[in-house]
Amino acid sequence: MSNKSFSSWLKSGSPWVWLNAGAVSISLVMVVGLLSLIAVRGLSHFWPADLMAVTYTEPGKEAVILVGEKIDTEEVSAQQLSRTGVVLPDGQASAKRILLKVGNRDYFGLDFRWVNQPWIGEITYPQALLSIERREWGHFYGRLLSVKQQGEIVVSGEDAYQELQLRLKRSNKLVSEIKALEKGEIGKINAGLEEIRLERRKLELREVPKASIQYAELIESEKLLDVSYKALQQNLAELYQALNRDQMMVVMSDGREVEIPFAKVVEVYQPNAMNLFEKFGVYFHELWKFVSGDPREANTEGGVFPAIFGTVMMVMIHRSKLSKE
Amino acid sequence: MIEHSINNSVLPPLDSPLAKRRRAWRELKDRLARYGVALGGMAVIFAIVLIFFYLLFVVMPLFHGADMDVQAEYKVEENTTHHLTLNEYNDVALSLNMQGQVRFFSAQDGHIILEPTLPLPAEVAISSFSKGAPSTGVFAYGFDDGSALVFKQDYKISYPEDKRFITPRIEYPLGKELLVVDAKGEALKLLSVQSNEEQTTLAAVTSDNRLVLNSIVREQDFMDEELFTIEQVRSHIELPALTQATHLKIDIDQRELYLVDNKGMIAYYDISNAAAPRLVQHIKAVPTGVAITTLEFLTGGISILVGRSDGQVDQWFPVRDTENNYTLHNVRSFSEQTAAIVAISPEYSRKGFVALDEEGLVGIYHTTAERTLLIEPLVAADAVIALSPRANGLLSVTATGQAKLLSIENEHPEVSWHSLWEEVWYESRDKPEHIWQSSSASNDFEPKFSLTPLTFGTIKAAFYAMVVAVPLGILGAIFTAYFMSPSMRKVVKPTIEIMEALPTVILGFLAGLWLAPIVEGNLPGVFSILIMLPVMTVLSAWLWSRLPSKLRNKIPDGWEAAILIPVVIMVGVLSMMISPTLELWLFDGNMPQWLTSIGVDFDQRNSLVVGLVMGFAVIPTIFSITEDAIFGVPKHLTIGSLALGATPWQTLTRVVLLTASPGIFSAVMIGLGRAVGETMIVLMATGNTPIMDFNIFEGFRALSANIAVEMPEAEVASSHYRVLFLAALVLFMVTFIFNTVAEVIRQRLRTKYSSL
Repeated sequence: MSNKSFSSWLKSGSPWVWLNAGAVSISLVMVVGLLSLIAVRGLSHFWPADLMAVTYTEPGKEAVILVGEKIDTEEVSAQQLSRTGVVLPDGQASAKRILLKVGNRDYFGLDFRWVNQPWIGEITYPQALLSIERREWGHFYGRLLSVKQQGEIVVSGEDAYQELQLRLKRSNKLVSEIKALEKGEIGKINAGLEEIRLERRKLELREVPKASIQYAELIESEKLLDVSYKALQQNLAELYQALNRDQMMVVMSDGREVEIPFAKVVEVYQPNAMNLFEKFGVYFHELWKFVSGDPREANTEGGVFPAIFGTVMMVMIHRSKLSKE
Repeated sequence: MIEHSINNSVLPPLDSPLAKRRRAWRELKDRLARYGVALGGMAVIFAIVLIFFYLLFVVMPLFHGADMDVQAEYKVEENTTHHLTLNEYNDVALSLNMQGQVRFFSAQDGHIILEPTLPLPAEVAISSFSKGAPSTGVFAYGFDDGSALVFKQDYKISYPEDKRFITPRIEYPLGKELLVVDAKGEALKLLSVQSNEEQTTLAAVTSDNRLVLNSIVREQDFMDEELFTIEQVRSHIELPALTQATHLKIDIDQRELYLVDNKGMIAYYDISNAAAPRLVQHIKAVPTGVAITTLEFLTGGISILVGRSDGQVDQWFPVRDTENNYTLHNVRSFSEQTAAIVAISPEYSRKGFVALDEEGLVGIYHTTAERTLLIEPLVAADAVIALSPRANGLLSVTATGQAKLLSIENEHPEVSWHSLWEEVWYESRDKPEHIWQSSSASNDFEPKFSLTPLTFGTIKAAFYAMVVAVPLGILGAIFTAYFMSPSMRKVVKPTIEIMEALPTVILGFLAGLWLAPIVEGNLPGVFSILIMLPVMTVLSAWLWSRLPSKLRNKIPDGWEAAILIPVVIMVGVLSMMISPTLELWLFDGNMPQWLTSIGVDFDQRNSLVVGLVMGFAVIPTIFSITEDAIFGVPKHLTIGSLALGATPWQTLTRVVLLTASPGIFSAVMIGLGRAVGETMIVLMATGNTPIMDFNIFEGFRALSANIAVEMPEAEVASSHYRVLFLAALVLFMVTFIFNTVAEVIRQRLRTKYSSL
């Protein structure tokens, strides 16, 4: 058998069988590869990455400290870098560069920054660095200075972080109470007002005289709704006042001190200080928030629950496989 | 042994009530099933037929011609109308004559609404009249002392007591004083005026055969709206001495001037620089014996319509050649009318027009679609006509004051078989082309509804998808059904069928955002994968056969696919790794650029990416049907063939494939139908450029993606909307015909090979 010549092996039809097998292998590799690509790229998004503090000294400029998450690394040619005005030290044909998510969009202008390997100095992972997820302007990275109440410093230093988490729980609870009040109770009042408007329009179209009793009834109902609204408005004002009670003082990587009200914060944690178990906890918590929460900031942050709800509803209505197109 | 007979069986006796009840119950179930299944089947057929008829219902109005009916007939006070206009709502008309009398009257019944007097000086007489582009509403009278008066119609709409009330008036954009057009003071025989917010241009042929051009800019006073100053630039154009000018027209953008003389010559001037007009071309536009009787601009100011004494209407516009020279070309002609054309009235917002000839026949035409919509004798031959701005009405007034208001129904003149499928010479292009460009930001745009680039795109997508899907699907199915071991098959078959469940929007998203940049950056790597995969497969197969039999026998027969998985992964990884080196060595470091330099255009989102991803999407369809077909070939045929000494491959090609051919054919057809209808992948990964090019490195626009993109933005019941429905109908018919043909051929093949 092992002395079979190549041509007789060809004639036996075996190569064709193997080519067919190759077709199956290619298909299998494609399927599994695609699913793994989606899984890895997608699911890795929620892992709380370590925050690095990079000392970056560009030629001709002062050293700066950049704080952020490492998103991507890339190898670029000297030619490509020269097009952006960056000249590599002599002899280097290409260099690595790291994409750093520096956050603080409202202070730095850009969320992401490329840092080039040749000029990276020290990289440290300070434990005290905070990752703050905000309701607007994306993530904030910095160090906690103190926690304030009504502008007065309550706690600062080592114990500030624990106090921060306690007050954050309180403010998040207030936020959900406010939301329930606005969407639920005040929403009902709005629906009632809209119904009254439609009733009024119906009367207008039927050309009922303006002085008649139906109009008077509508005006009465409106008055009642107004009264309940005023009461709810009062509640809402109180809740907002309570929410705006706390603030936190943080310092950014360039030394600027900033005050962030608790009303604007969703989550705070210290990624560098967490162990593997805690990180898994945060991971699943973030994943759950993604699947069950509402979107924010024009669908760039928050959750996708409404989309999931819509998809499932569509499937149930159609009672069949999702359409292929 | 117990004898079984009908008497001691476990069944009740035949005529007992129990047996009768059971029989009746069985019959009922049978009947319910029969009717239920029939009802379900008919409901499906009914739904499909309903969809087809709804699509047809939306599309039918496209091919309906125009209708014209008399709406009102009345008499107006005689005053030899020279020019007539109708307002937007078809209720107020303006009549102007050569004595300077202006009259606004009701178009419905002729009663006079307003008769404003123009500030005409007593000493001079009117020698010529001109109207600007219909949408501007500007007119000018030329006088026999070389001066002119520019005025404008304006309608104020108010809603007292919720009813529309129109107040017409005359405005004077350049003031009530006469403007000096000819410095020498000769009478203006021919006049042409155009005016807009920034500039007014007046051109005139004087009685001593000179052509003078005036460009007037009005400077509004900063503080007081009433005050303004006028800046006038005058220039002079030489006319050939023997020419007797008969028509003079300036375009709406005030950059071109056309002059027609009695010998049928058209002179085309570029007047964009008012101080230095230049002659671009002087051309004989009509054969000898024929005279030009009317000259009008089509809306948009690019084409001119030349009405001839033999009843033909020609469309001319300047075409640019490779050296940037413009020459006039007679792009199309309409020759259905035979009497000399007396008047042409262009539509305000579409590329159509109305022509009246000496016999009193009114013809409604559309230029782009080359369609003659209507020719009817509804108007007196010597009447003056005015087309409504919405092209839904025509007013005609004869010299004796007989007035007729006609209503026109002409909804979709721009669509015809010619404009949908054949090459059309659109304005400003240098040759007839297939173009899909359905809308733009301006109002006087020429919609280009050619479905050919879109159909070409769909066919291109299907072709490249099938090139990837058919080999992988069929060959894979053959192996899985015929050679693979059952234990491996139990794993492989569901895995590949998972591909089918993946929503194609994910595939489209990955194709456009992830695969396209990778392919662009590693193009040599992609091609080396395509070439090396079959080569390495055969090579590893041969190496495997050379291995000592002890090693080979460790892995049972039928697991070849598993052995090849590491080979495939290795080929992929290695090709990607050597891609930069290959690129540097063969293609000067950048393959897309190299391709562009040899004349092959390269786009990042191209048919290669779409072919790979759409092939991936279609593989499971072809795979499962082919696999079932091959698996279903009776075992005795295979065993018999092998027993007679054929190799497995010979058995496969000569016995099994032939028997399974109906299934394989059906699989390919269904896969093709799926590829044709695919929307999300072509929407996201192709760049959506409606070009007709079989280049694998360029994108395209498919019918399905086009419908998805444009339908939300199309105005309901417009031509654009109906053309999109027509595209949907085309897709529907194509898929329907494909599947029907496939089914018929499959039946024939089945009867042919079932006897084996």
